[in-house]
Amino acid sequence: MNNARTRILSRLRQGQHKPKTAIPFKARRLETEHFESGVIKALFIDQLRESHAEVYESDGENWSEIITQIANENSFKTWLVAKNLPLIEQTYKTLKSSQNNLSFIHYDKDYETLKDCLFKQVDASITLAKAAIAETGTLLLIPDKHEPRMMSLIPPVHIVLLKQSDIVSSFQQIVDQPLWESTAMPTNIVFISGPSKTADIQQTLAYGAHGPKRLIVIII
Amino acid sequence: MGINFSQRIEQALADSQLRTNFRGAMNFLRNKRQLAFSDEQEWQVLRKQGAAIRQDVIQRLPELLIQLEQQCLQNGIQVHWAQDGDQANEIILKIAQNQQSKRVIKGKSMASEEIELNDFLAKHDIECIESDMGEYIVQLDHEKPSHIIMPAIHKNTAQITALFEKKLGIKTPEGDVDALIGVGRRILREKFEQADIGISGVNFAIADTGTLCLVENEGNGRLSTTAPPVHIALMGLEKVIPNIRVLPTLQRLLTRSATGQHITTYLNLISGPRKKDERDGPKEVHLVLLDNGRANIRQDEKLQNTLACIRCGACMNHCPVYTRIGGHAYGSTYPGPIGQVVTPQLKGLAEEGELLDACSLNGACGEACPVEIDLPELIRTLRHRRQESISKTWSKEALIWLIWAKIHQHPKLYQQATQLAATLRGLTPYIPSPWRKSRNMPKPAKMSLHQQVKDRSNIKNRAGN
Repeated sequence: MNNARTRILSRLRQGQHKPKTAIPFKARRLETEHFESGVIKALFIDQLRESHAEVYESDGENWSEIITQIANENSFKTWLVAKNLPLIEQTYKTLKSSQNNLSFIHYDKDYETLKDCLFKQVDASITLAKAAIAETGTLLLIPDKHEPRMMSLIPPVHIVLLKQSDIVSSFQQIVDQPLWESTAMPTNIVFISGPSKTADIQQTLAYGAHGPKRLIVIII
Repeated sequence: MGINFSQRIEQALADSQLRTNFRGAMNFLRNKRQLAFSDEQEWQVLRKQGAAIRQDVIQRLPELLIQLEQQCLQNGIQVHWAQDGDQANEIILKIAQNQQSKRVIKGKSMASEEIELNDFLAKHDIECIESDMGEYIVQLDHEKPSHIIMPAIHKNTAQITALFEKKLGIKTPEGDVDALIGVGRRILREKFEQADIGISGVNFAIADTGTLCLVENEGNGRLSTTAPPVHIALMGLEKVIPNIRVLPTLQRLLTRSATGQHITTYLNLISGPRKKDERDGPKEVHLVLLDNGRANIRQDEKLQNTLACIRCGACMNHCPVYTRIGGHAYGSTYPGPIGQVVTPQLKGLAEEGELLDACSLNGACGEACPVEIDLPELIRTLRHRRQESISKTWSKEALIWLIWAKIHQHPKLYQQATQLAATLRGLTPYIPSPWRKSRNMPKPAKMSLHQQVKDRSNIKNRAGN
C-alpha cells in the first residue's frame, strides 16, 4: 500500500502552482465574544432545554437532594456510577441511603465483561461534565478510566453534574484554550447537546434514537 | 436499471407520491436553514471564513495529509491509503479477515456508498448493517440513499410502516414515528453488541492532533466507533482540516446548512484506540484515506474547488430540479448540484456527462453553499468541456448554437433574421417541438426592438423639426 501512498501524493503534488503557506485563521469577533456572567447560565439553560434536555439548578448545596428526588419520581433502580470521584461518591452515598432497593454498577471492568449488563440492566448513569457551552447548550465530556465512553451512551437516561463556573460562552473559546494539553489529545472527547434524536422518518423529530432517551443536567 | 437519465427523470416526475415527499422535505429543510442563518451579516462573515479555511486545505492538501498520517500513527491509529474504491474495499476486507469478522456495523458514510462497500463485503460473506435510522430503512428496502444527509427522505411514514411490517414482520400503529424508531433502536442495539467491526465516515480530520471528528444526532456513530473491538474510519482525502481552531466555524456552517441545527446532539472527537487503563473503546483504529479521483480534481485549477465541499446537502435542498426529480433519478452516489459536479469528474464526462443537463443555471445552489463553491460556474465549465469533447462530431445542439452565434456576430444578418421571425410569427405555434407538449409556443413580436427604437427616434426627430 506504500505504493498507493506515493502515487496519491505525487498526483496531489502535480499542478501545485500556488505557495503552500498556511492562510492565517482568525476567528470572527462573535465567536470569541464573552457573554456576561449573568447571562451565561440563563442562555445555557435556554439552549439546552430547547434541545429537549431537562435542567435543574441547585443552590450549591441541595444537588444531591435533587438527584434523590429524580430517583424517586422515576423509580430508576439500577444506576451506573463511577468510583473515586468525590462529587460522584457523594451522590452515590446519598442515593444509597435514600432507598434501600437501589442497585449500583461501577464501570470498573472492561466493556466486554460488562456489556450485557450495560445494555440490559442499567436504568440511569451519572457522569461529570468538564465544561459547557452557553451559546449552543452543549456539555463537554472527556471520557477516561473513571468514566468510560459508554457511560454517556448506552443507558436510557444520562444524568450530568455540571459546575456553574465551568460554563463558557462559545465553542471557539474551548478550542482556543483547550482543557486538554493540545499536544496529546484525550482518546475521546464528546460534545453533547441533548438526548439522542433523529428526524429520518418524514422529518418527524423522535428522541431516543440510539443513545439516551433523556438527558438530565444538574447545575451545581 | 438499464434506463438512462432522462428516462429516470420521466419516471420520477410521473410519481406523484415521490414528488409530494420531496417537496415537503425540501421546504422543511430550507425553512430550517433560513431560520438558523437569520442574521444575513453573520452568514456572510461565517461563509467567507468557511471558504477561506477550505481554500487553505486545498492548497496544502499533500502536506496536511502527511501531517495527519504522522499524528494518527503517533496516536496509535493505523493509516491506509487507497487510490480507488477497489483498493479501499480490499483494505477493509483484509482487516475484517484478520479479525475473522462476519458482522460489521456501519455509521453513516457517503464515501462507503461511493465505493459500494456493503455489496463488496456481502460477496465475501460479511454482513454489513447500516445503523443510521435513514440508512437502515433504505438498506431494508434494498435501495440507495436519495439524499446525502437524510437518506430515506423519499419515503413517508406510511411507506416505512409498511416496509417494517413486510421485512421485519413488526406491526406498528399507523403514523407512529416513535414506535418505528423504537423498533430500529431495539434491533440495532443487538447488532452493536454483537458486531466485531465498526465502520464510520469522517466529517473532519484534524491534521495537527490526528483527530477524527464525527457529527451526528442519533448516537449510532458513537456506538459504531466505540462498541466493536475494531473501528475503521473511511474518509475522502479532502476532509482534512489543519487544526481544531477552525472546527467551530466549519461545524457551525455544516449543521446549520444541513438541518438548521446550531449544533448536533453529538460531536465526537476520536484521537486513538483504547488506552491500557481505559475500559472501553476499540482496541484498533484504522483510517482509510480514499483518493478515488480526488487528487486529479485538485490538479485542475478551474475545478479544484469541488474539493471544498463539506457535504451539507444545502445545494440539493435549494435545487429546483432535485426538488422535483429526487435523488434516485441521478443514479449516482451524490445527487443534486454537487453530485452533478463530482460524479462526472470521478467517473468521466463521457460516462456521466449527461447529469450536467439537469440544471437550469438558476444559481440557487451557489447562493446556498456555505463554503462559497461557485457550483453554477463549475457546472458551466464541465458543460463546456463536455461539449468540446463531443462536438467533433456535429450534434444538432452544436449546429444550432453555431448559427445563433453567427447571427449575433453580424448586425445585418441579425436584422434580417429578426425581420424574418416577425414576418413568420404566425407559424410558430405549429413548429414541431417537445415544448408544445405542455406549454404554448411563444410568438415573436410584430416588430423587433431595434425597429421600434428606430421608429421612435424618427418620430422624435420629426417632432423636433
